[in-house]
This record gives sequence, C-alpha cells and structure tokens, in this order.
Amino acid sequence: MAESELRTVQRTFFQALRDRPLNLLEEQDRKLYVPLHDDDHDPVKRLLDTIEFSGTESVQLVAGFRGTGKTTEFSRLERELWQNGFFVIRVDLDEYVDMHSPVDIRDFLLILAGAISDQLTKNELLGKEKGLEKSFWERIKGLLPSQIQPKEVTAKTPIGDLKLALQSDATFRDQVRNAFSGRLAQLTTQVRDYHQEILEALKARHGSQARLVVILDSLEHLRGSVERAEAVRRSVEDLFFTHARFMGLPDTHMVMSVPAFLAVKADNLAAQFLNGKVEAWPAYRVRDRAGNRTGVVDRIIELVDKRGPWAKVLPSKQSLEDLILASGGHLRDLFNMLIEAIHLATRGVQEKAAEKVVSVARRAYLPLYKNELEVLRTVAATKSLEGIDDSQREYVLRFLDAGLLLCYLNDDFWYDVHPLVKDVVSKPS
Amino acid sequence: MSEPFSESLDRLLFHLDNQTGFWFALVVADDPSPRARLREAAEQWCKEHGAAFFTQAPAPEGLVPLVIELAKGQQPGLHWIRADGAKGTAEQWDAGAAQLFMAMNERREAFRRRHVGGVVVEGRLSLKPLLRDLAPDLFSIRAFVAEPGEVEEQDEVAHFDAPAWQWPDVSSFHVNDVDPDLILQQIARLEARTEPEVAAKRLDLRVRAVLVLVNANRFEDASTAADALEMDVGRGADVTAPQRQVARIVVLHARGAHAAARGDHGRSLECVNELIDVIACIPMLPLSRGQIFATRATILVKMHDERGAIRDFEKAIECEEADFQSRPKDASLRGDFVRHSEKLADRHISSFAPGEAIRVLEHALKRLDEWQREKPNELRWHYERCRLELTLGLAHLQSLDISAMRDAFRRAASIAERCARRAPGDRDIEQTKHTVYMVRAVGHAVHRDLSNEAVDVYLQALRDVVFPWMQRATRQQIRRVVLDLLIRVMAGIERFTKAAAHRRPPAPPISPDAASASRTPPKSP
Repeated sequence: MAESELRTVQRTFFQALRDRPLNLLEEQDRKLYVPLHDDDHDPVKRLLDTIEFSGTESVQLVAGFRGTGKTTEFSRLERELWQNGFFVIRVDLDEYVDMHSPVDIRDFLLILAGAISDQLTKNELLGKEKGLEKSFWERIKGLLPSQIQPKEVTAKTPIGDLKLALQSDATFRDQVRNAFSGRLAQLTTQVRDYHQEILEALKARHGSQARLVVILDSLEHLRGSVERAEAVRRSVEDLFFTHARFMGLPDTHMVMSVPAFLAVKADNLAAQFLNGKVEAWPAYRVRDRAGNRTGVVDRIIELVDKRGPWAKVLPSKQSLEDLILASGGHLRDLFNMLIEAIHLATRGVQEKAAEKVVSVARRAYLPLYKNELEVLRTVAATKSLEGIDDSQREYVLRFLDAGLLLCYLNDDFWYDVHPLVKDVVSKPS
Repeated sequence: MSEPFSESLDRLLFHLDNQTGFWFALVVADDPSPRARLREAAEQWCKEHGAAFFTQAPAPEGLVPLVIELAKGQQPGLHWIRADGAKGTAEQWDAGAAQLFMAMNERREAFRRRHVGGVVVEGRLSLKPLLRDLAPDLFSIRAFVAEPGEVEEQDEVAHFDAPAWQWPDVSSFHVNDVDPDLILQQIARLEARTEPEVAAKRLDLRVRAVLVLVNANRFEDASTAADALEMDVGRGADVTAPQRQVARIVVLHARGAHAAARGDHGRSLECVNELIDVIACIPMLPLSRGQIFATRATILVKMHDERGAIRDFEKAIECEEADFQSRPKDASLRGDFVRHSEKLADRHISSFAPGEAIRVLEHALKRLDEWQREKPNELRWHYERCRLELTLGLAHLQSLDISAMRDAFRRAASIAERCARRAPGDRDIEQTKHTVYMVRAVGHAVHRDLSNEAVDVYLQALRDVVFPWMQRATRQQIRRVVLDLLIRVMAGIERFTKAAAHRRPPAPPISPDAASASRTPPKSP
C-alpha cells in the first residue's frame, strides 16, 4: 500500500476512534455497534426486564462510570423500548442542571418537567403543535408563586431563558427554592398533574395503550469541585434519600444515571422508590474476578474491527488483545490507546507497539501518591470496597471518577484497580 | 534531541495533522525548554498550514478568565496556554491551573460545541495529577498528555517518596465568580425586585460585577455597573453603613480606573484621593491598601508629582510590610512588595536621589534573599531579582559609582540569561533580558568605557537586540524609534549632566589596554 494511501486509512481510523457516543437510533451508528456485555449481565436487558415486569411505573437508578459506553447503551435501551411499544423521552441533563452546585428537589422537579416538555414536539410523541401547547416553560409562570412575580419573570427572564437561568444562575435557583419552601407537596402535585396531562395527550394521539419511559442521562456528572464537593454530595444524598418519594412520575417508568457514590454507599437506595432498582453501568469485564480472560475480549475485537483496519497499526491480534486487556474494559482508554497505536504506526508497524502504547497510556495516570497507593492496594487485594474506611472513601470516589478504579458486574458488583496501574500498585514500597 | 522530546513532538504533530473540532492536550515538564520547543513546533506547523495559533501567557489569576473567554468560541485555532513562567510562583501556578482545569471541565460541552481547534495547556509536572483528580471529564476526553522533558526515573518508582496527596489551595474564588457577563445576567434577573434579601443579594452581585469588570479591563462597562451600584445604594433603605462604604470604594475604584484609561489623570486622582479617605475608616477592604496607594503613586507620576509618588509608593510598601505579619508566605503580597520597591527606586532615580534608591533596592533584595533561601529554584524570584539588579545598576550609574554599576548590571545580565535558558520563549523574560542588555550598554557608553568587557556588552546589545529588531522593523517604526531615542538621549544627557554637577565629574575614559590588563573593573575614585 502506498504511503499516502496508508495515511488516508490511518486518518479514517483515527476519526472513527474519536470520542463520541453512538446513537443506535441511526442506521450508520448501528453498523458500528457490537453488544459487549454477557447476556446474563447485560444492563440494558436488566433495565428493560424491570420496566416490562413492574407494571405501570418504576424508578431505576444507574450508577454511571465515565467512559464505559453508558450513553451509547442508553440509546440502545431507547431503541429497544420503542421497538417494544413504549414511548421514550431521553434527556441529557447536562443541558439543564448546574452539575457543580448543590442540587435541590424543588428546582429538580421544575427541570424534570421542563426537560420532558422540550421533547414533546417530536413527531413520534405529540408533534410540534400539540407539543408546544404543552410547554412546561410556559406553564411555569402559573407555578411560580407570587413572590416571584410572573410579570417580572417574563420581562426580565424570557421563558426561553428560564432553562438557562435554572442551570446557570444560582441566585435564581435560590429564589425558586425559597418560593417553594414549605410548598413542596403542592409543587409535586402540580408537576404530576402536568405529567398526567402529557400522558393523556399521548394516549389521545397514539391510543390508550401508550406507555411512557423517561431516561435521564448525565446526572452522574453532579460533582462539586474542591470546597463544594461535600455540599454537592450531601445535596445528592438528600435528593435521593429524603425526597425520593417526590421524584417518581405517575404511570411512567424512569431510568436515571446517578453519581457512582450513591450506588457505592447506599444499600437501601432502591427501597426509596416504588418499584425501585439500582443498577450500575460497569466496565466491560475483559477478565473475571480470578483474572482469566473472558469472551468480552473477542467481542471488543469485533467492535474495533468495525471501527477500522487495526491490523495496519498493530503487528498481531495478540497486540490488540494486549491493549484490550490493558484497558480493563474501559472503552475510552482503549480508543485512546488505539489512537496512540496509529500514531506509532506512522513510522511503520512495530513489533513492540502494544508495549509502547500501554506505557504511554500508563504515564497519563501517574504519579500516584503514598496514601493513594494504600487505598488502591486494599481494593486490589479484596476486589471490593469492604476494607475501605470512612477516611478513604473520598479517595475511592475520586478514583472511580478518574477511572483508576473500575467497577465490574457478575452477579454482584466488584471492583479492581485499572490494569494500566496494577503493576505500579502491586510493587512493594 | 532526547527520546521523550522527539516522541512528544511526533505525537503533537500527529494530532495537529489529524484532529478536527475541539481537542484538549496537556504538555508537562519541570524543565521549560522542551515545552518551549514543542510550542515553537506547533506554531511553525500552524504557520505552514495556514492555521491560527495563539500563545496565551496570562498571570496565574488570569487563567480562568482566559478559559471563560475561549469557551465562547470566538477565536478558532490552536490556543497554547502557558501555566508557568515568571509571573507567578509554583504554588500560584498550581492553584491557577487547578482553577483552569475545573473551569474547562465545567465548560467542556461549550468548548465541544463552539470551539474549533485545540487547547493545549503547558506547565510543570504537578499539573498532571491536578487534571486527573480535579477535572476527570476533561482528563477522560484528553487527546494526549505529552512529557517532553528528560525522565530521570520512571514515575512509578519515584512516586514512593512522594508526599501524601493534598488538594491545592484553590478556594479563593469560585470560577463562576470571575465571569462578568454571568454576574451581569444574574443582576438583570433580579432587577426591579424589592424584597430586602433580594436587594442585598443584588447589591453583592453589583459589587462583584464592578470588581470583575475592572480586572477584565472593561472600564466602560465597569463604570456603568458602578453607576447602577450607586443608584441601588441610594435607593436602598436597608443598606447598612459598611455596605455603603464597600460600595463607595468599589465605585471610586471603577471610576478612577476608567478615568485613567481615558487619560484623565485629574479625575482619576480625585477618585483615588476620595478612596484613600474612605479606606481610612474601615478595616475590611475589597481591595488591597498597598495597591490603592500604588495606584495613586502611578497617577502622580503621570502628573509629574515625583514627591507625591515617592510618598505613596513608600506607603504602599509600608502597608505590605504590615501585611507580612499576618500573611508572611503570601506570594502575591511578596510580588507587590518587590514591584513597588522597584517603582519607588525608579522615582528616587528620577529625583536624582540614587542613595535613596539604593537603600530601597538593597532592602528589597534582602527580602528576596530570604524567599530564595526557602525555594532556590523559584523562577519568579530570579526574575524579580534581575529587575531589581537592573534598577540598582541604574542607581549606581547615577551616583557615578561605575564599579558598583558594572557589578549590578553584570549580575542582572547573568540572571536574565539564566532565566531565559530556564524559560525559553517567555516574553517577559526576553523583554527584560533585552532591556538589561541595552541599559547595560548605555551605562558603559555614558562612561565612555572601551574596555574588553564593555565592547562585549555593546556587541551583545547590537547583536541580540538592535540588529534583530532592525531586520523586523518597518521604516516607519525605525523613524519613530530613532526620534524617540534621540529625545530620550537628550533628556538623559541633560539629567546626567545635572547629576554630575551635583556630585563629581565623570570618570575618565578607560583605555582598552588598561582594561584588558586587569579583568577587575577599576573602582571609582
């Protein structure tokens, strides 16, 4: 192959590996998709089963871990739900919630209703005309109590800006919270009444069997930085434990991605909700708990195959397998490593390509500090978080966030240190 | 070319060739030289490919405002952000970079949607764990982390001696507090509200908006915001006396800055005078007292009131000395102290009081000694020392102590060269180095020094400063500079003659033979 041709191939492969979630509602993206989880542990299947078996409503919380293909899998869930006759509203809460400030049930309910109403104009739901009629942002004027005078809100905060104000203006959020202080039950009723109207409108348009599922993505991004971390965490716990009963919507199944620490910390979280369940979006289990290679590796090879000609950048299938195992099933890391492999291959495919790529990827995670190593060693030894005391919990959450610790699922959750730093962690100090 | 460097360079060029849309990378090394070479390579690549390249080198506290600006996506191209250099200490850069990462992490979607091109952050190795731990989303979507410096030992072995991880001290402000437009939006939403708690909140926001707008050099907007603040205070029945004072201080600060930007020094002085009257009454200030006196001193310099300027710079330094009691390790306070000392010495030189200038500079140099003993490798203090030595040389030049002048200039040049080697491409350091070369050459020339050392100094100034500039400059620029130079030389000769008349005659010319026979410069009579 001529050099220029090779470069074009490599360039195309590079673009195919750039980070973006697949949208499985689109034909082109479906061609790139490979189901990676074992059937028994497929989180989408578990979510789908719960929705189908739990009557008219349920709330499922999915602990999200970064870079594990969660958004792609949510799009698969959406597709399968449509195929099974459900109506689906999928919302990216990143566009609505200030993910770095404490969250509160009052503005959360308003955002939830507003975000759902934004999707209603889609043809497969209510269509443009009916959808606009049902806009919650319009209705919010009536919901805002007299302290926040509707006239001023209209004049100073155009309705289109309400979404922005709730997201970016802490002062406005404070006002809303104060305004609904002591009136949470009333607000909940109003939001639920509104939601009931939506359901009726859906039934009127699509028949009385219309069943709705709301998927809320990205809530796991809720995280305060440094001095606000604790306040944000407490607010999330408050939201899901104290106010869980206000969060569900009538006759609707909800799936929410939530911060990992909720699942790590809470044993009784599911019990807070009607038909509640806590799932986690684990990393793909390329090795089992005993360290043996699993069939997931072959599926990831198939996935990489669909993205591009890996054989033009790596010397052998074994090298690709080495990279997959080194990624620990963390897809974003794997794609980053493959991009690095393309880079190395610009000077010709090298025998030790995988080794070099792993070394580069490892360096991004280093250095590790003494106290960090202690925590990582504890998890590596037990493959769980059981030996972690309260003072070390902060580290665990940080490591889960950064991908230094990976969460896996067999019949239960288990944890392991990212294979890229495993050698470093296991070295005696 | 070392292996880590060539690998990093390859990786950088590969990503420049292939990336589309927004991408983010980190370039870290404790040695700034390889980082600078990577930066130059990126700039060269952009030049060759017709892409826009921007080197962004703000002070540590300017990193977050820069990111807020870039997130608007109005300047497509590769932005190379330097989070290291002579404008801050290592701790200040760590804190600034931590804030930068958090701000970028929060705005990553805005970057993805609006910015076409890369953002590369360059700094010390300590930035790597900050990115991983404080900005996990940004870390997760990184294009690459390059480490072009020499690696003495693999980190995974070296880290066992590393201290326990600690959060950097970044709590001074939240990133949203520095986005003036966001604050203005928040105020707009509270307009026309009359409840006491809302009015109090709005007042706080107005104060913050004015300060942030002044810091962003948006003086006109700051002035408008100050008017609104004043009106709000006037209307508010529940506004407390301390709130009124703080508001007054902020209003005067903004109006003074706006007047100064317009060149209306009289109005600017009025504002600062009133500001100083107000601050005498209250203990807690939204602004630094030392800075306020230094601001007035700067205005007085522009109004040719040297005595007043000297008095105010002295007061500024007094305030900073007092603040050292409570904040002995505060790097920004230390920086202010050195800068104000340098400016005070400048004023003494302008007033033909070189002895006073030398006293001030030697005191500041002693302080620097203490700080450099704490952290011998801190580039910031080397850089400040270079500037102080340069001013010291000028003071000795004025006092006709040629030997001391030579020593001071020699030290300044040597430090400037060391700094330039440590931080190649740092514009502040380069500029200071060139100033040292030129001033040193003029100093020797004034004494009609033709010794070997002096000839070397002349050659250095011509070769490194004058000729390269002449090659780049247009005829128009050359005309302007020559004219300016002539005026300055005339003024300098006049001043020098006056100073000499006050003291003693200039030293006789030094013959080349005599100078080369002895490497030690002769002492002044």
